[in-house]
Amino acid sequence: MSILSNIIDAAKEVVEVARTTAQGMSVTLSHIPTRKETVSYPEEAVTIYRRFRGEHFLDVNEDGKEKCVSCFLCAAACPADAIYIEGAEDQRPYEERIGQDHRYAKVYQIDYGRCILCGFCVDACPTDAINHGHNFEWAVFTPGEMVKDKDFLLANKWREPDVTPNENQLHLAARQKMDKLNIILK
Amino acid sequence: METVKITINGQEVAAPKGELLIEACEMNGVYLPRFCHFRGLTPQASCRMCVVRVDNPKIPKLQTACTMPVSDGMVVTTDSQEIEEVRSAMIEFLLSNHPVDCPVCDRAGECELQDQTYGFGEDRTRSQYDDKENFLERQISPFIYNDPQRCVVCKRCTRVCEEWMDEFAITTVNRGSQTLISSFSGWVECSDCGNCVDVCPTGTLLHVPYKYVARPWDLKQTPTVCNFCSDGCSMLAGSRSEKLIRTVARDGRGRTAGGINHDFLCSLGRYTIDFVHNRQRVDRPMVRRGEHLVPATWDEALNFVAQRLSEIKAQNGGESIGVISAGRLMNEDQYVLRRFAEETIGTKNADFYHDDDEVDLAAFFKYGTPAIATQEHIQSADTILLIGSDPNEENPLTAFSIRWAVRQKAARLVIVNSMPSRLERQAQTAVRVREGSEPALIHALVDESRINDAASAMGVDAGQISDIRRVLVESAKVVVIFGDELRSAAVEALALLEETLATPNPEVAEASRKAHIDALQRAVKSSNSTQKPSINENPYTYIVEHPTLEVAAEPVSSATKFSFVPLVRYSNSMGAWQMGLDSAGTGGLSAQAMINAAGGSIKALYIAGEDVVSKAGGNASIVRSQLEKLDLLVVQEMFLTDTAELADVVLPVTSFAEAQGTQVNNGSQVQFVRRTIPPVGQARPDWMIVTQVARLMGTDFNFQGQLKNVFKEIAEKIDGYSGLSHNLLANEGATIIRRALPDSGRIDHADLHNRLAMLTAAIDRSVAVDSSELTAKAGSRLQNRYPLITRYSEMISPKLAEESALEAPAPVIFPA
Repeated sequence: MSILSNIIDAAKEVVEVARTTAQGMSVTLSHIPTRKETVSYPEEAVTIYRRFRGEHFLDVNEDGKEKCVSCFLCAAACPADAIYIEGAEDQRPYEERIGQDHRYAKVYQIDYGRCILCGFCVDACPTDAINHGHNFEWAVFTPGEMVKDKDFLLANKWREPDVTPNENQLHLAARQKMDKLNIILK
Repeated sequence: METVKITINGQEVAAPKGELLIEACEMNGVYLPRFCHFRGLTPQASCRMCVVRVDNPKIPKLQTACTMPVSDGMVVTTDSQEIEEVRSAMIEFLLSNHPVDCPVCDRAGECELQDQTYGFGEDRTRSQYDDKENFLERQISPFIYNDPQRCVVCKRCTRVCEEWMDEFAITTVNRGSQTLISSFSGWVECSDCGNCVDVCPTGTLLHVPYKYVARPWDLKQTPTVCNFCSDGCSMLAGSRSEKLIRTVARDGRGRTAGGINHDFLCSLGRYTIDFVHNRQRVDRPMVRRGEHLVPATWDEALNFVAQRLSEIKAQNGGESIGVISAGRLMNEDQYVLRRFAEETIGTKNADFYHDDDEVDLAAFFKYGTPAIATQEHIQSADTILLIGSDPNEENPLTAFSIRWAVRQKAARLVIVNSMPSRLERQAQTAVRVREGSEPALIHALVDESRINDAASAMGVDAGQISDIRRVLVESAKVVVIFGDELRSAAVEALALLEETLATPNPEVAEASRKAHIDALQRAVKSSNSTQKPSINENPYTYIVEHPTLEVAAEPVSSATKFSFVPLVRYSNSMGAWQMGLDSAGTGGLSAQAMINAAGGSIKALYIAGEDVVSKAGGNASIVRSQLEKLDLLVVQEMFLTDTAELADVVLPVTSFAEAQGTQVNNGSQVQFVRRTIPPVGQARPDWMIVTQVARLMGTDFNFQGQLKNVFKEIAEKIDGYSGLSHNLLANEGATIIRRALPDSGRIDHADLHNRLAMLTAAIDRSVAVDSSELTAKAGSRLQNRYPLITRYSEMISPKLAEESALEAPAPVIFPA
């Protein structure tokens, strides 16, 4: 009796394992034909949307003058204390000076080791000088390299892609543009 | 003090009688918005922000609280629909022509117009129009930047210039909406005190050195004390990223309690602070190798000093080494230097450098410590006697207090001086005497029978001297302010004034004061009172026109009738004396005697913070050759001065912004100096360097490297300091050091009178009395008075050099 019942139990187990395996595999196999959500970054570019808050850029006005008037409001609004500014005076006439006002930022630094990309600085800016760009790739070897200076932030504007709403793979375009720029710089 | 009961918003409170309503409200926790009102200035009532409703059928309209004195039973409403509407309308009008360029305006963040708009204004404007009055920004002095469009015409700046500084340098020009702050020539010729900028509620006047440099919310504000003249103004030092950016005056109220200077600072305290970051600062120890001073490590330098001092001490004895300190070093430094001289070196030759430019403190303190007047005492004095010196150019805060007393309290100012001074305009009696004959006045005051003799020595009428004597006798409280013109016996004889010029009875003093005020009122009534007084007219006009101001603060009184202000030269000359670092106290050679004995009995000198070569003036080459004879010259200095260049070792020290400590001003008030920024380079505080040298030479002072332990010992050992500590001073602010009063029994009257007679007899009567008018530009003597620092201030020094070269721009009184 005991031998027969043992055989029946084993057979039941085999059936059960086969059934659960088939059930599990059915879920797995059902996903194979559907669209993949995982992006194999960095080999493949991720989708960046227009309102993404990435590395900042400093804007210039239509005459090419820096919009920043060194009012320190971004530094005051910054919860992470990431922005450091030194103001200075440029008494030259409008055509010759670098800023749109007599007052301009001699030093403008953002420490991306501290920045939390909250966007308060952008909200605080009375002249729309500071904006969020779309770059988020700033892997570096030393913490000091995380501190970006004014020239870098100004040049960031030209590294920005032409942004159209909901365009996919913006980042790819940005990277291509940057590569091009790097080639030119080299 | 008499108080009255008033009702503010339904709550009954007490207020001092005669106080202005706006101040009474503030005392009781009700803040009224204001632009034109400022404590210590005459009422202006032009901004109409402080309007209140007074419940009185005779007063149907809203009243300005800044011009209304409180009276008993007054019922006031400060907050209602009606008042809110008026305030917000006033703000709207002020903003209608305001550029609202806050992002580029340096005042943003501490702007009263911003604050009042947030507090009492609307968030939108109805006056959107294009033809706003547009005035160009311009610089109107080396230190003042002017943007007329931001002005709310509160006239605080012009009143400060007239009433505090008596300079009338800036004024308003044009009328109505065209009103501008300007000077008559377009370029402000003044002493550059910068007070007009500090009181400005908007960004109309700005400091040029601070322009666009930082934001007030970014600055770390540290309460500290000025390091120049002996008035010891309290100030707030603003620093950013370990750099000293600016200083502003502390007004002694609220967060900055303990300030003594009522929002007042002079050009030195405000514009010379950049010497701290001068590139010429010695930032590491330097040791002489052959011809040159070369950088060394601290260990090398300290070991070298200790070893050489020990050698010289072993060869020639301790008495061959002298220690000289400077009047600007703090109490702790002076005390440690004294212990260093006494215990480590074993010499009596320790002295703080003071020459004929310094008040004769040894004579002043000979019989004990006379009553010393603080700024508050001066401001509430009945009569002020100024002998010699010119506080206006040497101690600006004292001059400010004198003017305050004259304007606000109708004090009588008596000046006996040999040179022209701007304070003469405030004086009731100003007597110009022969140069060097000021001591004869003291002789005449203590000995009535010598008036004629003294008057002829001074080159004035005997009647003038007896008038002064009569005024002093009839006054209830007299503050005597004297400078370095009084020497030896004349300073000692000040102790006799109390008994020789005692008031016969209080009624005499009262009657005399009443007669004085009556005379003033008559004088003002007889003149054309509809016009503001011109520069040379009676300065008392304000007080008589606004008699309510007279009672503003509780009078401060000292126990004795006479109190004194010795106008010592450096910020801590008084402290150096109190710490006992003075040859008169130690019985050794004075600083000058040590230099004269160099190469002879003195083999080595340890000089802390004094440029003895430059100080010698015409004798600089002699002093230089004397110092070259020394076996060892150790100098602790911030810069490579003429003295430091001769040194064998130069040890870099911290400036007042980098060191902690205490210092004593000419009112015998001790104040705590906080550390504002970390030391520049490898600089160390004076006391620490001396302690380290002493330890290497085998004496351990046992301070464990802690400054508070030094002060703990000072509190135990020095008379008048018991019970004090750094914590206490940091919280309390300026604290008066009280020491034993003079013992008149110790005075040898006959001898003193003899010496006074000799002083009077020695006066050269062939010198003509200088009756010239003041010609030098205001403040120029002040700025030249501290050459050691102003030379290294890039803000002040080019200005001093190029001042004459600067061309004033064309007047901008009527802009197109």
